[in-house]
Amino acid sequence: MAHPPPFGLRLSRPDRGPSEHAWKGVAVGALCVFLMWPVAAHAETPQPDTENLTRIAAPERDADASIDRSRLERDAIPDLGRLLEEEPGLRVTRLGGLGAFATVSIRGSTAEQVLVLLDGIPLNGADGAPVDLSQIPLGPLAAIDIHRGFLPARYGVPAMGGALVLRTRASDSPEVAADLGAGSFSTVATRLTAGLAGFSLHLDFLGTAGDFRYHDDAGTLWTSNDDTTRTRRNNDLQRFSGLLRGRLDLTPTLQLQLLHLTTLSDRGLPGLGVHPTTTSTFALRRHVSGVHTTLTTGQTTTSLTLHHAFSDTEVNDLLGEIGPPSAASTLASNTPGATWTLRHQVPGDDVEIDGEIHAAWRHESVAGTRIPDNGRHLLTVGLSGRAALTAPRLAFHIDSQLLAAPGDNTLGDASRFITTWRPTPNHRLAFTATRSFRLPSLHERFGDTGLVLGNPDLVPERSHGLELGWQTRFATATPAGDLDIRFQLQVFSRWHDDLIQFLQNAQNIARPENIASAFIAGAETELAIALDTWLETRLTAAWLHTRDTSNIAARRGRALPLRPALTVGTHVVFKPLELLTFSLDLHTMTSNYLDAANLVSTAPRALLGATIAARIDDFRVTLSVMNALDNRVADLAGFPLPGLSAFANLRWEPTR
Amino acid sequence: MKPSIHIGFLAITLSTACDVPTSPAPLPPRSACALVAVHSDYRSSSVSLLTATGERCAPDIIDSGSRAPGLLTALSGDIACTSNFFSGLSPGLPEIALLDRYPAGVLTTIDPNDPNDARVTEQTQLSQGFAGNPQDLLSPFDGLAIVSRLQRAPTSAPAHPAGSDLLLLGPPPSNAAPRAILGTLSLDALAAPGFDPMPVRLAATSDHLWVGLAHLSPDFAVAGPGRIARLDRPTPATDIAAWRATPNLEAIDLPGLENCTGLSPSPDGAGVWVVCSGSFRRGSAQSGRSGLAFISNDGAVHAILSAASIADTIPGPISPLGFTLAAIDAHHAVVVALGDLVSGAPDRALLVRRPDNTTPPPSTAPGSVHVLHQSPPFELGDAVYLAPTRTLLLADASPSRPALLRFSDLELPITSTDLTVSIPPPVRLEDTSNTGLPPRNICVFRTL
Repeated sequence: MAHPPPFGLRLSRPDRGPSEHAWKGVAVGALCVFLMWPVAAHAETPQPDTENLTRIAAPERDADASIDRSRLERDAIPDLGRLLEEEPGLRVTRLGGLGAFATVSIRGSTAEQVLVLLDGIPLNGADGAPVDLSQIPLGPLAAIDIHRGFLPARYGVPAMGGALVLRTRASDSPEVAADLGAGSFSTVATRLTAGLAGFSLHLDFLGTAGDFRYHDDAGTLWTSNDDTTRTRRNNDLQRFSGLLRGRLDLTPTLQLQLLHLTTLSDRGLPGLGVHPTTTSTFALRRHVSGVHTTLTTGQTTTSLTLHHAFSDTEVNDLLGEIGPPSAASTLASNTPGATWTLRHQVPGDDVEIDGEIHAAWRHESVAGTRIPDNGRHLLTVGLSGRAALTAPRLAFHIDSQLLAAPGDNTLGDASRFITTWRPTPNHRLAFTATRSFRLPSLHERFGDTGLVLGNPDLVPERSHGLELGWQTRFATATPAGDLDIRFQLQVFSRWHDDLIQFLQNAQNIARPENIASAFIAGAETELAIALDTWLETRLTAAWLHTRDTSNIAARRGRALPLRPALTVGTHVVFKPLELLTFSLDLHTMTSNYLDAANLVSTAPRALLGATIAARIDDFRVTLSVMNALDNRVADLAGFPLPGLSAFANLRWEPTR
Repeated sequence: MKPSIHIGFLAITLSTACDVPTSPAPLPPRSACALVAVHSDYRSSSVSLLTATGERCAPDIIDSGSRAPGLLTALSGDIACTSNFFSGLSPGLPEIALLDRYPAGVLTTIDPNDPNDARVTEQTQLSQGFAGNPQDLLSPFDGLAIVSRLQRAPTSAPAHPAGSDLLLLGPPPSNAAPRAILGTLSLDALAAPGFDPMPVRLAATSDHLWVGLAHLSPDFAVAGPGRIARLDRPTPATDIAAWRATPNLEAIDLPGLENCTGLSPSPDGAGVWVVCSGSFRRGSAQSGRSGLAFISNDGAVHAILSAASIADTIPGPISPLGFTLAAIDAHHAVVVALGDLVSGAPDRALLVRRPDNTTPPPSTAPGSVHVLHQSPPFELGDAVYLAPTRTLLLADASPSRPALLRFSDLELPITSTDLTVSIPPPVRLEDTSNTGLPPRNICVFRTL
């Protein structure tokens, strides 16, 4: 199987020179063997798009799921949190509406256990804080790959909970597009995309006042005498992003790719709903750069990626509306790194072998806190191997990496073993065993904010997991058009140990300790039905069973907080005409606990969204309604979410 | 099968057969409940009632999930019971007052006599537009309640009290309605330039009210000189407006100490004990500004016992004293010396005796110190001394095995200065909550 390189481009240009033809032959062969096997063997099966094929068929698939461009562009103003939560097994926690701080959990993980990578470059800060989803521009993205519970070694960094890999858009042919959107809460969104000869530029702006109405009960739930309805104040956001990427073919076998993303954002910090703020602000400046080279010689491909991520955040709370009043506090995260990969393929008639060796270096440093300024070095070596037999139709895939932090005297290893069996071309059964870890962050080990003290003796969080997956597909022709039905089911269990939790003492001092453990089991299923090009239906469901196994009396045997047991999604896209699209999305979630002691539970929630889009010549108009049921169940206590809202977008995209 | 295996199997079978589930002991009537215990992991809380000896009386009468969450949960994880009696709608009848400190800033009062569940009689938002962080409540007489608010309001807050003050509450206008806010009493005159008074614990003696002051800089980074406040105690005959204007507010300095927040009136009425924790930002130097003091009713400081002088009399490292303080009498008090997670030094509950002296200068070294109990660091919490039964209750927030520790026989260590006196181990009361949450605060709400 061909893995996309870090920048999401093909490994080589098409139709260039003999060596590339050879490479194509290998690639096509691998693709046939590993990806299209079930489809190719079924002569009457309609050819699906590559994206869905990857998701449904690949045993060593690059990702467990993907959100493609069509879904990223579905809503008038897309909300990454909303899109991710439509994926089974993902849970997004938000502090507000569009543009508010949001984090993601995968299969019951913590947000810190999830990595977010932009074309292979980690965006997680050196301090270990989870990535704020609201700071990710969607305009430059071609797709979002979702890895549940494991990240392959070639990325050079382990992800115990899983990862989101953001793939940026390539512009192989000249293109230009512009978007102008607006909607509720004084929201404005504009995008500009221009591409020429392998180079592309994406500019993305989102501004919103975030001034939705909410019910303020004054924190007194037993009396309504003091209840009021308020407007969320100091909740505005202005976020600008610019992404430049390009590709240079230096020789027929040597390719150079460049990437730079700048994100500048300023937002108000509205505080708790009962104590709204007026002036507190948060500013982010993030720069992500990377250079990726690929050299292909025969069956061997060598690639080297040099990358650098820098982010600088500044919190202004001069009046002490959120914490003790102080001058602006800043935090600068600096993470240069390099990843090297050597890949060799041995094609054969009965057995095909594909091996990779990986090595990566990353340096994490944080300035602006009491964390040692010299940071730490992280060294990773990894090994991946795949072997596929044609009879029986078995494939084996092993992926292993070892990470060392020499300054911390810390070592961790992550590995995954997959066995795949295809009894028939349209059925695939896979068994996966994983082992992973999360290194304690610099903040957890060395942080010191006065009331939160780091713990240098922390050891990595560890997890083991088992997964069984079944995928099947049925395709046939009907009078109404070609019918394509896909179904997949994954059942998994995971054991987490040495989980890091902050313990607070009676003097209000908190310190992280490796005290928690948990057992998580679950099932994720997806049924996708497509009828020709005019109807697409996708039903998803995820069941999650979590059990805190820590030796803590208030938690032992109880469910992990913020993990709903059941989430169900229904997504329907109806295209009665070529230029007209209706879509409907209903996402429901059972109640979940807000606290580890399982005393506080939220109400079940149902979020309904609808979108209509029409294309007229070079223009596309999109109208979206979010949270049409005006459901006000919040993700976290203290932070209200907006109710019904509506957005519109006008796109100009001249046909080529 | 070997005979020993047979015997073992038989023993297991018999022991299993004999292990008939026992129903929990019947609970005493609500009228027998005298103490309130707050259990919390700082994320959620549960409140139980105990008998006068700390036994289970009415477990978990209200908790964070007693109402579906709104903007906040019904009770947050930062709940404190009040250290003084409080009467609400029914004068003379005790109620339980809970302070939801941060961020909610809510006073919740509960009728402890409701036989089925906790009946919330009223709720009052104390913060008035900002996170006021109320710390303690004291009711000098029916119809007046005084709340200490730690934090200063941002200048942007509505034109309400400035915070870091005392908030005065009258009776609620009707059942279930918020209490009437009568106004505030500023303590700013007691603060050194650059510091806020930051009142924490309140105490009352016959003629005075006492206020423990953190006296920190607004960003909590620097501690000002250690001091507490003393003012006249109002009575039902007092004109509250006039008292607010001239409360005879005075500062009592405790030289060498900082962050003097803990107060506990001596049960014999002779004065108050004060514990000073020092500034947490001082790191290892914190213990140098931590200590214990005793002040008689006339305002005279009789003892300033530094943490170092206390540590000198017992084996182990010098540790700063935590907020925990329980006065035994005018000469004895129980404090907790904080443990250290880095070094592994344990939390230690210490019974400290001050030397006899009736006039200044204050004593600077303890007469004797007994180690009552020690637990791993970060575990010991609040303590309360029940003078009529000579019982000390100490919260042990062990994550795996939380309990209330009951010391019932302190007579000998109190009367003896012999440090070799053996102290009987405490009784562990592990069933005060069914939630598994560890106890943090213990208060007396009814006359024992």
